[in-house]
Amino acid sequence: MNHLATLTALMVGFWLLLSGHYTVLMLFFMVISIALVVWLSVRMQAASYQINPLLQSFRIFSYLLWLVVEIVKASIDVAMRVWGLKPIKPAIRRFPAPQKTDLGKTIYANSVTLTPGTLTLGLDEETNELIIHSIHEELFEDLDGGAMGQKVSHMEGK
Amino acid sequence: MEQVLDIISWICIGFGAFFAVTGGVGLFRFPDFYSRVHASGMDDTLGVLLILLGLLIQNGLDLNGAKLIFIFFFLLFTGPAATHALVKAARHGGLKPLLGEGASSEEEREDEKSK
Repeated sequence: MNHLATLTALMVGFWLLLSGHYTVLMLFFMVISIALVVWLSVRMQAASYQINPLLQSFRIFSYLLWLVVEIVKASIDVAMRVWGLKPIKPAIRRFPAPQKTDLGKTIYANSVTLTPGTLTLGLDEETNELIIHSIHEELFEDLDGGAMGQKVSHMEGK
Repeated sequence: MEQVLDIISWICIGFGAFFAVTGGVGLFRFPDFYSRVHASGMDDTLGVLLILLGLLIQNGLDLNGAKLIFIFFFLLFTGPAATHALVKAARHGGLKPLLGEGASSEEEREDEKSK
């Protein structure tokens, strides 16, 4: 129930920010559309086997901020490789994905892809490893420490 | 004050455009499919981030500004999804990535083909 309340509050905030028309008719449409979305997500949750704690936690915002900083650093690095200031040497390696939930693994894999220079090719389900392609072996060093993976696990924490 | 904000926003938009162009150049310069994806990844992250930031400073934090922020967050989710779809299709089709130093120049690759 608590989860539903959070979802509804998020939807109302989102709708109000997008709309900008606060007449009675429009607010009526808002109530209908949000009720529809909440009903649909209740139905979907009945079919899903993992309830995700990530959406209830605000850690995701601090993670996104950290990720944006990483993206800026990595973009500058890749830009230098594009203009020939640094060499390229593509490589593929496997990295463990220690996250417990599917959503955690997805976020980790997507974060790796979002960071320029590294790209998730796939997830080996048997060994729980991400297959990662990189524009130069050096870029694997950032992943070696597992800082990004740990941050994602931390978000899953509670 | 307004002029300072104007200058900051144009710097952001300028750098965003620079990274977008760099991504385009990388698309041509990099040797194979998988490394080209890295170049295009720069467009939909830092290029978009800087341009949207510049526009946000121009616009100020009102309803339209909130929409710009939403666009950025949605791109953070849709960008990797599109990339994964591309890469998965390429792997499914059996495209082998070029690896190691040999991948660094176009000419060397042509040499190997002719051997």
